[in-house]
Amino acid sequence: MSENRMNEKFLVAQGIEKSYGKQTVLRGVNLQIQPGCIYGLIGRNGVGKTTLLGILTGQNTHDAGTVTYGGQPVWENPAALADICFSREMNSAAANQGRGAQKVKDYLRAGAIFYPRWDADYAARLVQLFKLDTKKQIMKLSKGQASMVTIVLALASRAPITILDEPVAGMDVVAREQFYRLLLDDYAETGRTFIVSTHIIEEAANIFERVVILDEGRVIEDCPTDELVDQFRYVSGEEAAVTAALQSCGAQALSAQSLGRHKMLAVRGSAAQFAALEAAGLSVEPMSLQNLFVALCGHGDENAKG
Amino acid sequence: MLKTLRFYIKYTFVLLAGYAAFVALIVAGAFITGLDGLFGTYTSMLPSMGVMFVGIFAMTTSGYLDVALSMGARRTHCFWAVELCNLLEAAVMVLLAILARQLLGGLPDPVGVLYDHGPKAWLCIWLVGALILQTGLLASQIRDPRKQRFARVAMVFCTMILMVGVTVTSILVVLDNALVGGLWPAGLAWLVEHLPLVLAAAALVFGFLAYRQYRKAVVFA
Repeated sequence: MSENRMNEKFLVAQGIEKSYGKQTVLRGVNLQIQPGCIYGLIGRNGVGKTTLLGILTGQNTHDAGTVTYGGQPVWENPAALADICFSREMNSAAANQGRGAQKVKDYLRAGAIFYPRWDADYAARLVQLFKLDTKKQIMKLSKGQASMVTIVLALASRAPITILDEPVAGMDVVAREQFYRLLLDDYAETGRTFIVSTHIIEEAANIFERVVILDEGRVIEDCPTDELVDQFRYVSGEEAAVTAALQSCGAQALSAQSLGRHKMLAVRGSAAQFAALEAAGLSVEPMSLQNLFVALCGHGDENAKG
Repeated sequence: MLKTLRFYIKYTFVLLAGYAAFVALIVAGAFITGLDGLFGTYTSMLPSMGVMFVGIFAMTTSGYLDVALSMGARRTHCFWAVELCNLLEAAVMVLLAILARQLLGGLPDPVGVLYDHGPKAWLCIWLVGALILQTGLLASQIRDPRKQRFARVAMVFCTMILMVGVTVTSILVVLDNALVGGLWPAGLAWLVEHLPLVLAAAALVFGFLAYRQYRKAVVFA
């Protein structure tokens, strides 16, 4: 516990660019991961979350920019790599490239070899908790059970920076609740840094201390979750009144839904601006992290009809 | 480096245990059915079979690389760990072949006959083995199924041709009793003369290419 708590190294990405052929995925990404914090990394499908995490952990190459941990480059640096665990999602690519072909016990054995702080007792307890058959190949497990294997690896690694990519994919709601509780218990005990990339935003929002939103190859938000959520409100009322009030207070409207003459807008602003809108007789309601994410990254797709 | 070697060595032991069981089976079969039967033929082919197996094993290592890299192993460590494991595999396979020959006694051994042609032939067979290993390793590193399909097929084909070449040459040497004379077209005399050098250079080139591929290997999403 104390060893992790004492770790004050920052994982820093500066100007990261990455393309696959003609497709540019990351465009000058800057990110600073502070020690002792639970990060949520969210973004739409194909936006480059896994690519960014792969680059941060020296598992993927990049075309431009630098990644450092404690001021030292991460790429092929054993000291930096020993402090970082990136537990990847077990998808079809993992199965094709060999990770999925491993038996659970062999995969965890590899974890015990490579992670210097590996907690074998904890790994055994988690395997028992999730009722995993360690003799089975990972690709022969259900999607949820394969996700559990990645969770066991991540938590038992005890790495000061632990990254989980879609950790609850395919898991039922009970198992997901179990995971969130385990994560928070571990965090309370060790204070290590977690980065959780997920599409299940509503559920995970409560555990994120900071949230990083990736959109169109750039980090568009990187701040404490409460602070971010506090900047957004749903504002609704008569269309003319809403438009006039917004113009007068200068708040930023992101997305709109109209029902007859009634209009509801996702609005970004300050406490004073929201107070002014409320004073103008409009309804001002809080937004969840998921809703603000849709407003920021939906680009109108959320209202598109097939 | 030791961690990475520890990771890879387990798979090497598993492969060698399987190969040892295979050798035990065919030697036992040869004891029972005699040297003229199918088992006797298999046993006489053991040395060249070992060379082929090492090449095949080398081609299967990309999955382990993916696991090792995803857990923070260094690329150069992975490359040298695989090379060391392949070396160990080759050594154990040769020992098993020698042991089988000793056990059965008087077995017509193609590579054994090759060795009788002197150090050059002996050296050549080992350099072909090294070349097969490096081409197999390079083939294992052509991993992107979308972009590198042709390159991968070409490298696997190249490795297989070398493997078949070793076997056929071994058999022809036994039949013709001539590695240097008669077997090769006259126009290739320079190649035969400098064969060890050519093979060593080719193994080094393929090894270097495999190393370069390892240096930029990524974990697939």
